[in-house]
Amino acid sequence: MKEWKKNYDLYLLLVPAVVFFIVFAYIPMGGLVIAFKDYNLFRGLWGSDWAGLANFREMFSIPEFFRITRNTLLLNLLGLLVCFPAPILLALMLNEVRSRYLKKISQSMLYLPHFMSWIVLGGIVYAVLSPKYGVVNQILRWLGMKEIYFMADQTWWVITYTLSAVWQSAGWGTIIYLAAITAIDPALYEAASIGGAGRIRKIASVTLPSIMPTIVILFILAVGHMVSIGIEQPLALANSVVSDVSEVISTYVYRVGIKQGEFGLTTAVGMVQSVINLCLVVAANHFAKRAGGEGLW
Amino acid sequence: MMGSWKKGLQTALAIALVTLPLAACGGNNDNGGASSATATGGSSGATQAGDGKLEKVRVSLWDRSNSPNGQKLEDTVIVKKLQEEARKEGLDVEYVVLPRSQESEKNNIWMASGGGPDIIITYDMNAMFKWAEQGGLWELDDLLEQYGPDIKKLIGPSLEAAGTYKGKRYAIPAMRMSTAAASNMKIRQDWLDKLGMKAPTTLDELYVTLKAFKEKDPGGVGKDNVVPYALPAISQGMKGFFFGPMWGAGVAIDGPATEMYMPSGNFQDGVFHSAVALKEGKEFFRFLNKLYKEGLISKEFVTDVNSQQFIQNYTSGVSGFMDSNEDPWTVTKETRKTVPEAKWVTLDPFVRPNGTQAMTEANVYGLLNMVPKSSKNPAAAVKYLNVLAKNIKLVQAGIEGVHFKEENGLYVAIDPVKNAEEIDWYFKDLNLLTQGYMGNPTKEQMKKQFANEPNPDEIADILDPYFKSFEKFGKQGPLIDTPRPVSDKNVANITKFLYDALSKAVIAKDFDAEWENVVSGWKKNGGEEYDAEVTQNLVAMNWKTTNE
Repeated sequence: MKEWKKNYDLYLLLVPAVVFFIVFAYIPMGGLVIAFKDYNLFRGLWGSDWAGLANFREMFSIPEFFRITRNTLLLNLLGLLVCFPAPILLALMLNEVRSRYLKKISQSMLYLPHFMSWIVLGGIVYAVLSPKYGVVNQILRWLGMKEIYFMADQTWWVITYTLSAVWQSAGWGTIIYLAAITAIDPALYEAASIGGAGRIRKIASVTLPSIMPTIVILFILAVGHMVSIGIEQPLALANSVVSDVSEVISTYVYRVGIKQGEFGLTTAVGMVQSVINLCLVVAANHFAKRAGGEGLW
Repeated sequence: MMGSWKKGLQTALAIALVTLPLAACGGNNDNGGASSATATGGSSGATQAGDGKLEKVRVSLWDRSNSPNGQKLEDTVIVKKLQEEARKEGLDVEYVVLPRSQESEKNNIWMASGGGPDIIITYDMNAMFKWAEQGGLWELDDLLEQYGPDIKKLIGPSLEAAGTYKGKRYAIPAMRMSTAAASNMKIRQDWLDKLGMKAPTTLDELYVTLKAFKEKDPGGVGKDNVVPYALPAISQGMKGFFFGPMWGAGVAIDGPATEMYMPSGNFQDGVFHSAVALKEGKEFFRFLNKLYKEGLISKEFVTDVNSQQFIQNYTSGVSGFMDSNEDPWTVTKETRKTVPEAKWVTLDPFVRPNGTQAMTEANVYGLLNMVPKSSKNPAAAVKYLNVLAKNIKLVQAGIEGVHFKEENGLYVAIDPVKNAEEIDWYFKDLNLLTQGYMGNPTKEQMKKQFANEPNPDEIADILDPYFKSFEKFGKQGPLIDTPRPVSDKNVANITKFLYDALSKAVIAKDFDAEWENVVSGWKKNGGEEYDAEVTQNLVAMNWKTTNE
C-alpha cells in the first residue's frame, strides 16, 4: 500500500494501457461463450440456448478439421524455420554494409513489401509465376526447361507460400535486430579487434551473443503463434487445386463462420486455437529459462 | 554480459509493446468495416423536407465499382429523383451502399449486429429460408396487403411463385419480365465459316470443333495462343460456366439451386441423384479432363479465380466457344473492339444421350427483398417498394423524355452516350422489383431497340435465335420452400468440397482415381443424406423431371 502511494504517478501512467487491454482484449473474451451455445443471430448472446460441448464434438467430426490443423501447423512451422532466421541474417548483413547510402536504400527497398496488402502481393505472385505469361517460366523456357505451374502444384505452392512470406516480412523484421545491434557497446568490438578477430569472428562472438536475448524473446513470441495464422496471405494465395494444403484455420473460420453463419462452431475452433497457443508460449518460455537464458517472465 | 541481456530484453519488449496494439486493431477490422459502410449513404438525411414528419427508410444498394467518371452512387440522377418521389409520399430514403461482391458477408454481419438497412437484398433463397427459420425477418403478408397495392399489380406472378417459407411471406421477389436469362452457349460463327464447319449439335461434335479451332487457328492468333473454350476457375466468382455442355452430357436440373454453378442432378424413378453421383456427371467431367489434357481449355484455368483471364480470352479473340450469362450480341460487341470481324452466335442445346435438348432458363422470380427484424419500421420498407412500383419506369429505363421515349411498348434510349454516363452503370441495381421491363422482343422490336447502332438488322439476327432457344428448350428447376435441416447443415461443406474436388478432377492425370476421391469425399460430407432429403421434397411436391 505504501508502495502504491509513493509511486501513484507511475501507476497513473499505466492506466491507459490497462484500460486498453480490458476493453479490447478481456471484454471480447466474453464472446467465447458462443462456443458453448447454439448461437442464434437474432436471439443474441444471452438469448441463445446452451449447447454444452456440442460445438466441440462437431468440430472433431468435421472431415476437414485435422487437415486444416495440420496445414496451419505445417505452414507455421516452415514459417518459423525459414522466416524467423531470415531477418536475423539480413540484419547481420545490413550491419556490415559500410556505405551509408547503400544501407539506407537497401533498407527502404526491403521494407517496401511490408506496406503492401497481401491481395496486391498475391496478384503479383500469381502474375510472376503464371506458366504462360509469368517471367519465371519465361526464364525456365529460355534455359530450355519445362514450364512449371507453381500455384497449382502442392509442393511448389507451399514453397511459394513460405518464400513469399520471407519476401514480405524479412525486411521489416530487421528493424528490431538492427535496433538491438546499435545498442551493443563499441568497446566490445574494439576489444575483439585488438584480440585479432576478423569480421566473421566478430559477428559470431560479439554481435550474435549480444542480440541473443532479443532473438530468444521473439522466438518465444513466434512459437506462441504456431496455431494461429493470418488470413490475408492464405486467402490471397490459395486456389481450389491446392486446398489440401492451403485451407487453414483462419480461412476455414472465415468461409464457414462469417460466410455461412456457423458462429458457434467457428468460435469453438478459435478457442481451441487460443488455448493451444497459450500452452506453447508457456512451454517455450519454460524451456528458454531452463536452457539458461531469460524468458518472458 | 548481463547488461546486454537486459538491454536486448528492453528493446524487444518495447517493440513488441508497440506492435501488439497494432495487431489488435487489425483483428477488429471486421466490425469496423460494417459500421463504416452503413455510414456512407447519409446524403439524404441532410435534405429534410419541411412539410410534416418523414418516415426514415434505409435501402441496400449494390456498388459494382463501375462508375465511369468517379461519380458517387449516392449522388446520381436516378437516386436523387427516387428520393424526391419518395419524399412526396412521406418517406426519407437513404441508400446503404455495399460492394456487390460482399453480399453474403455484409448481410450476415447486418443480421448479426442489427445495424443493417430496412431492406436487404440477395438472390440466395437458402439464406432467406435460414433467416426466416431463425426468426430474423419480418412477416410481410399483412404489410403487403395494406401498403403494397402497386407492388401486387406489378409483380403478381413472381409473388405467387416465391418469397414464402412454411406458407408465410418473408420476401418480395423481383419479377423477371423475360425468363430468357441464364447461362447460354455461344460460338464464333466467323471461325466456323472460315473452317467450313457446321455448328456442333452434340458433345462429341463440340470436341471435334474445339480441336479444329486449336489446330487450324481460324482466328490467326497463333496456334499456341488459341484457347478454344474460354473457362475460368470453378468457383463462386466464376463468370463463365459449363451448364450447356453438362446438360448435353445428360445431367438435368431437378435439384434445388445451390451455389454450385452447374446442373444439379436428375430425378430418376422417384429418386434424386446429385450430378456427382450420376454416371452422366462422371462422363462429363471426364470430357472436361480430356479438354484440359489436350489444351482445349486454358492450362491455367484453375488459378483464374476472378475470371480475369476468361474475359480476356474471349474479348481478345483467342477463344471460339463459351457458356456464360451474356447474350451473344453483348459479347460480340465486346470482342469486336479488338477483332472487328468477330461474331458470336447462339448455339442451340446439344442433343442429349436420351435424345432431348434442354437448357436452364431463369425462374420468373429473381432478387429477394427482405425486411430484417432489426428494422424498426417494416411498414416504411414496404411503402418504399410501393413507391418504387409506382415509379418503376425510372429504374427500368430512366427519366421519360430525358433518357428514353416510349414507342409501341419499347423504351428507346434518346442519347445512348448520355445514358452510359448518367444512368446505365447503376440504375438496374435500383430496380428491386422487376428485371427488364418486357417479355422477349420480336425481331422488329429488336431492330427498333438497336436503332442507334450501325447494324440493327445484324443484331436482330444474332439475338433472335438466342430468345428462341430459351423459348423452345428452357427448363426451370424446382423451388422447395419447406425446411431442409440436412441441407442446412451440410450444403456449405458439400459446396466447398465440390468446388475444390471438381477442379482437381479436371486437371487430374489419372481421372478415374481422382473421381473416386470426388465421390467418397462427397459422401463423407453428407451428400447421400442430402440427396435423400431432396428426394423426399420432390416426391412431396410431385416434381416432374426436367430430364425428359
